[in-house]
Amino acid sequence: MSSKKTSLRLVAATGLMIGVLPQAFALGTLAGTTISNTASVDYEVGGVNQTDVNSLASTFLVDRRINVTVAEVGGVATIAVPGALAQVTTFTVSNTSNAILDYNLQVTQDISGATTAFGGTDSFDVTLPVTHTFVESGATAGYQPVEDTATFSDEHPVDGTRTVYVVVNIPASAVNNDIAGITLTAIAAQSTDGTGAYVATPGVLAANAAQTNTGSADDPAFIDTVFGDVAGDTDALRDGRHSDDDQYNVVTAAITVTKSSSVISDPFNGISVNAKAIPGAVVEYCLDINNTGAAAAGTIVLTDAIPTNTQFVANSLRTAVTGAGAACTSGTGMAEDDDDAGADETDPDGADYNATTAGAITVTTPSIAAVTRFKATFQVTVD
Amino acid sequence: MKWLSHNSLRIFALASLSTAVLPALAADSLSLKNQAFQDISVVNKDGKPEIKRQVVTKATPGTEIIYVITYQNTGKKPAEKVVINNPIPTGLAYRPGTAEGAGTSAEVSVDGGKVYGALETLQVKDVDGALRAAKGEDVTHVRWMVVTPVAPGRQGDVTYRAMLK
Repeated sequence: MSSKKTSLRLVAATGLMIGVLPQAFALGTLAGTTISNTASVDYEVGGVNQTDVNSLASTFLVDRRINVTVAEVGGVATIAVPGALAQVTTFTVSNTSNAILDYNLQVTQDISGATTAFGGTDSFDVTLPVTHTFVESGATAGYQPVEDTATFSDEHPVDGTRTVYVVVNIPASAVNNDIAGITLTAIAAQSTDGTGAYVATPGVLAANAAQTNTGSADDPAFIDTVFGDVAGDTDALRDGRHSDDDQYNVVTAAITVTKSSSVISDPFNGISVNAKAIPGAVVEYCLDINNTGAAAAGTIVLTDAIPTNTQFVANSLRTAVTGAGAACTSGTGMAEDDDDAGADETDPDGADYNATTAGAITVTTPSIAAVTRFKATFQVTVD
Repeated sequence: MKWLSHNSLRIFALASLSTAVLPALAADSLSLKNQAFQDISVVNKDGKPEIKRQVVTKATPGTEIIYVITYQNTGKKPAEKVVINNPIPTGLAYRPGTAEGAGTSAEVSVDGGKVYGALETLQVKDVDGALRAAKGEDVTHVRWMVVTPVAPGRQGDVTYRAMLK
């Protein structure tokens, strides 16, 4: 009889359990949940079954364990040119606490000489605008200045991962291969009432969280806060924050111009490799514009005055000349007329004599890619 | 005729049961107390680490809770066939092998209390419907059978551990 009675009672308990099971959370029981335990005893006296006796419920509140992870997204540096505005690095912030929290987002810059996230050495500081952290709104992927305006993570859900953009300006003084390391730190923030329960104030960043009652026994009716996070790049174990780093690499064009000349012909040898630079000789100048930088150079305009005691040879301008290294192979490339008008000026390169600048040749090209040369030639006769 | 006699026999049995049980129902001679503890690591006055048991303090996910259930016979007659039962609270996962108590044999159930036995003998249906060996987190109930009658005034403890999920 006793066992039959027990099983009947326990069937009822099973029904209860199933109803409650969906509250099992991947990251743990939510802070503030009451854990209640009641035991019962079944017994006989003198061979007669007695009414079951229940214990009083033993209850406690689940405390708050704060755990946060910041992770850089992409695994590569953000490439930027000097003076560039709104350059973005991307992170994720994951709230693996058993409570909803705000996250205060802080950006720090590496000190000069420090090893940066992807193996470089910090050599400059970016310019941080007044607001420089933005949380992805979810409307459109990627940083959208109009949509992604939240500067901290508000009411960050349990088990929620949000994308955070760090948006900075690159000072114009930065030079090619400069590196700026930055670190994003997410700091758990909370507002609690008298029982330690989280109080959500939408749109308002709460104060940074602190551990409670670390040195005293628990108030079973108070939701304590315990830090359970790991150490990040610049923060410590169990400090209620986590950090990860990223970096900006500066690339810029570096232009050098060299000019060389060779004698094409003279009145006595004609066109010959042995022609000498005597009066009447035709001399070809080779202009080499070399971009040794890591970024393309745009809108190149090179002006070169015709040397005194020489005369420009009409229609001798050529652009996009080929040749080994800085040398020009005579007659290659594209012939340009002497004026500064017509389709030949934008095909895409252009050149003129005595039109843009009096007494000089002017060569233009819209862009020279990184680590690429652009060469032009013109000829003069020696007076 | 056969069916009828069988039926009447059963009714008779039920009647005898109810008359027998009624007089004893009023006697509430066992008391039960249930407390939750946790072991914390402290540094004692000699500067050495020491495990101290205290009432549950920082209960965050992963914390191990120790439940201690104390039974006492407050009546005047021995209590027989004492079976203490504790459904595992929601949010806790039973730690295998921790149900114990002097003078008791402990069993667990993984099906809401229908079948009890040693954990390693029990099976549960997995999400794909296949049977697998039951684990600590599958345990729904723990029960202890006190082997000998509990004499008046005598008390005992039974205990188990469970982790806060």
